[in-house]
Amino acid sequence: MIRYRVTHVTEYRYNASVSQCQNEAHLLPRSTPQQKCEHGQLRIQPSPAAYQDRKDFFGNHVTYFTIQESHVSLSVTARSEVLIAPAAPPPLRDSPTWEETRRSVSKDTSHAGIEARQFLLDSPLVHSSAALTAYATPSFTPDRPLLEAVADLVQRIYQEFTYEPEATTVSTPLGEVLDHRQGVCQDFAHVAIGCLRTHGIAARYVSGYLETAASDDQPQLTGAAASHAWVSVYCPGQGWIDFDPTNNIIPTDQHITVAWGRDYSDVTPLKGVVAGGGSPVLDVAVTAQRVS
Amino acid sequence: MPESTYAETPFQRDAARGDALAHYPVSSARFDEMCSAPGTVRPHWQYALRAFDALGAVELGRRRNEVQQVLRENGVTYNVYTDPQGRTRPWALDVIPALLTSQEWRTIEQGLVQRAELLNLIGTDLYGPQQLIHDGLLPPELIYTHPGFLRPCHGALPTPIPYLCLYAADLARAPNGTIRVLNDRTQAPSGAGYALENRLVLARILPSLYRDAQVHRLSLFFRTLRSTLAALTPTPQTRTALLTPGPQNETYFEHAYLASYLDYTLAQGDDLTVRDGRLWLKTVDGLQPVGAVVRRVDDTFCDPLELQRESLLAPPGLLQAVRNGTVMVANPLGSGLLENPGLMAYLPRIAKVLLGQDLRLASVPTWWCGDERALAYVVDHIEQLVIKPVFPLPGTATVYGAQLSVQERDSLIQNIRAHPHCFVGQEQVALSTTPVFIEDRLEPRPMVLRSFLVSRNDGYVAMPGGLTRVAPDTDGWLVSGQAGGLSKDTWILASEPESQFSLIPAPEHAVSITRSGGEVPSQIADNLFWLGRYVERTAGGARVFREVLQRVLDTETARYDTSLSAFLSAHTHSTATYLRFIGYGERRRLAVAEQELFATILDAARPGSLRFHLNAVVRAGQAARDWLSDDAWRAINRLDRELPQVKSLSEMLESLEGLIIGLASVNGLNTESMARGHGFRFMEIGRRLERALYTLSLLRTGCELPHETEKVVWDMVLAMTDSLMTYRRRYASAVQAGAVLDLLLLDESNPRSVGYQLVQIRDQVLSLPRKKPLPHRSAEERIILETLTTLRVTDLERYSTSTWDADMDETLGQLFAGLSTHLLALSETLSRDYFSHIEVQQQLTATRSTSR
Repeated sequence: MIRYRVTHVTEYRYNASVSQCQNEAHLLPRSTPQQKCEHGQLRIQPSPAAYQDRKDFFGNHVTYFTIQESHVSLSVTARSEVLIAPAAPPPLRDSPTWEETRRSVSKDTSHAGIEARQFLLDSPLVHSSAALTAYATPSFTPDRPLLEAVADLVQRIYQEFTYEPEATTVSTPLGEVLDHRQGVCQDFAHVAIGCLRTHGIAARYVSGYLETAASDDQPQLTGAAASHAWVSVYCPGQGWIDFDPTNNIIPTDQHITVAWGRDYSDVTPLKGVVAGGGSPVLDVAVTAQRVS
Repeated sequence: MPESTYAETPFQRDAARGDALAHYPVSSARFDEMCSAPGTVRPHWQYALRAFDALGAVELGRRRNEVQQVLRENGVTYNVYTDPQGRTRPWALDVIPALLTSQEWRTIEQGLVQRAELLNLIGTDLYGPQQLIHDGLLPPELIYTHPGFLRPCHGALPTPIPYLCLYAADLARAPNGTIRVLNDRTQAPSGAGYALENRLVLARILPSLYRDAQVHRLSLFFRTLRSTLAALTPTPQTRTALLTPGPQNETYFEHAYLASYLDYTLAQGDDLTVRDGRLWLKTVDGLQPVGAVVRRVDDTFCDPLELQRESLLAPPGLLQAVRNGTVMVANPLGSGLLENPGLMAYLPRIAKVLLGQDLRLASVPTWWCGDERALAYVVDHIEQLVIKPVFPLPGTATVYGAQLSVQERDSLIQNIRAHPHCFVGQEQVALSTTPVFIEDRLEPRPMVLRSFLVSRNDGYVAMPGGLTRVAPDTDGWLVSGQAGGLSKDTWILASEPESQFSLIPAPEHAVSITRSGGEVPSQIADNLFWLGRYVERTAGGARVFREVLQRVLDTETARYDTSLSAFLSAHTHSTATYLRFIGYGERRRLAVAEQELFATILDAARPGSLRFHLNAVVRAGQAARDWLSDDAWRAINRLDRELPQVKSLSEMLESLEGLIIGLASVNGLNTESMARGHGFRFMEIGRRLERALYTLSLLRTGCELPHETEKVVWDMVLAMTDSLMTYRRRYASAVQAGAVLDLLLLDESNPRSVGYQLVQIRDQVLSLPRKKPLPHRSAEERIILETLTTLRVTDLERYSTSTWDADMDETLGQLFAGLSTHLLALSETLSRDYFSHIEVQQQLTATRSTSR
């Protein structure tokens, strides 16, 4: 078991005072078959008048809070310790063909199957399109094992798209990302999800963290990181298998899952509505480090 | 009663006379509600038909006009989005009711109640365990693909049940006579208020027929609605809000009408806020708790935090308040899912499993294309089917397969195959026809009946009747308010006499005597303040124009002299709208002044025109509808007619007279009928403030004009302020500036003077709800006291001479400008302190994941 200590600080600074804000956070990691979250907690400044935790439709932790005193900055710090049981990457060749998967999932009436079927459909930020189908097609050659096809797709996205934070914003449409081949992890995740769904493969969006320093001989990149996003694919019999198109890897022990949903809109780390505030400035800092 | 033949009814006599009522073709392709065959009248129509026959076409036509007049005076409207001017359209009601026997209604009612119960169970399940999906009774894609399935609402079920408080169904009768459900309405069904208004109007227009026909009453439905909501409200002693998108909404009339009828607070998103985990109404007295919301806003727009982010139609945090159990929303957020027409294909089986019953009221045969076999059927039979998207989406409309060209059909099929989950095919129902009084005869028109149900602790109660709508043409397939068309009152004819219910809902418990009448929502206070201002501004404008027109008519030769143009300018200055009398090209335009004058009065599209201000009066009145007395409301509605598009100066003069009287009656009725609460106070302050500003502007113009025209000018000022008689009674001599200034500026006993307005404003301001404890003065108090004192210490003695100098002009000019500035500051301070608890609300930039 590997133990991670995660700190995720989000800070809004306003140039006009805010009389009230209401927020919703997907910031505390969920537990999964491979991971267990301990001591997850949010520190909010100024202190909230109301604070409520619940599980959302997908089983993620959601926090609602509101601040009712006048304030000029909001700081939300999520801290947690997460235990991860490293799993060996699945053998790519041993999976059923993608055509077989497509046939079986659409008729799968098991509990897991029904849950997976919603991840075949269009979602608020990922609409099927001819462009997505066309981009994905070279990876989905006849009778190819599903996971091999997905790995190929993920590799192509990794090679053909440029990581460029300035190229996109939270509201850049998927079609534009596909045209310009630039963006950040969440854009690449959306591209992969769209490609998979247009080929009848159930795919969901995973929001989380990447280890900020892989080992002791690498320098610690304290506070430099942001939150991360990747995709997960439903493979009947094997369950959900993660792929990280931004780094072209199959996550094993360096990815900490916070939440999953159909796309980013289901699991936005922090959103809110404020009264007043002028034009706010946003700062985010993340560290996810192993502790022994 | 045996079916009589056409020949036996007096109708036939009319036919022989070639009378209007005689021609009534019956098509064999459709079921006709009145005639079972040409010339054969169904038994339950015979009595009514005889009555219409006895009235005759001329009298029916007269009553039809009366119907429209009553509807117009009651301000019953239906907004049409496509109207470029955004104007409201008067609600259209046929003078002939739709009739159903109580025997048949009982069968329909049982079917509706069963269907409401079924949809209630389905909603409860889909926002809970979703057993229907896991048991294979509903395909997951049918639910998960529908944007009405609001995941944030999952698990946020209202307690206690029921899920569905309100339900409406659109019913159609097929050619074989069976009733089918066309649409289920589970979100925020509209029409119940129109049905009620239709009933009140028709019962008044056809009193004896209505009495003799023993029609089932509607009041029980509304009483049940009230008691159901009262029982479901989690916190007692809180108010219920009717949440409306606002006056631009197509059925806004109904929102205001129902709020007033049910005694709920009409509220827009801005009027509400979530704090401390519960819902509050913003009032001029501070926040007041809200325990229940009847929403007329679609659920996706009901929480900008968790649902549609751009929405301003509801306060952020509403869904969390629902989760907290501090407020109940009817219908619950997420219930729009049940309007999914694809569900219809699965209802019969679900009814069997959940209720152990057959579905009593069948839906129109429906195929959901997400099912492979259904898809194949729809593609094969597309010419006979109606293709509907499972949710309203821009660019996807309901399409009639038969009306498509080959290419259109192919592209539709392609679209369906690409998104099979998003479409249904439905059998095209040839709607039954019902007689409508068109021109001077009865004509058959296709109809749809919307029926309404409300939950009660032991099930559902249906409104006996409902809202019948008829298609605008004989061959119509589609009946919609937006497409134009007519509504009808729907009469369920009682077989036995029914006990009388009062239309005023009986209170659930004894009324506790109160004198407050509720706190005034900030937005209402704002609207009442502006209602006061606009009424006064329009009246002032009308007086200026009247005076100008009279002078023009009197002195054909000296048209549009300097003083006339000066006053027209004064009008524009005071309304800060700068009409085209002033500025570059002024002289030339004044030369064609008559045309310009007409446009300045009548052109609604021109900001600052009289019509423009009049429309603002009507809008402010609509927005504050349930705070006005019925008579005041009718008087405001009548105003709409006061400025017709006339052609001549004398006609225009006549309409201005009418407008001035009309506005005075609005003021009078408001003064006489509104309780002296804060609502009245804000309206009164608005009115006085505007009148003071207006009078100051006229006086300033008077002083600025060349002194040789003095007499004429002051005559006009006196006429424009309706003070000529007062002046003449006091001063036998010719009109003189000093005396006019005293009368219109300082004399606090003259209800037209600036001083009088200031005293009135002061009295009202001193009674406003206070945020600061005594003895501190509020900002409003300080401003008005300072203004009043400034005026009172003004010395006008030196103006009673007949010789003026430049210094005197300048002193006066400064005085007028100072007073105006103070009054405008008062207006701003009021709106800051009382009307806008409302800060600009914004979405925070959501954090995104940007790691590499």
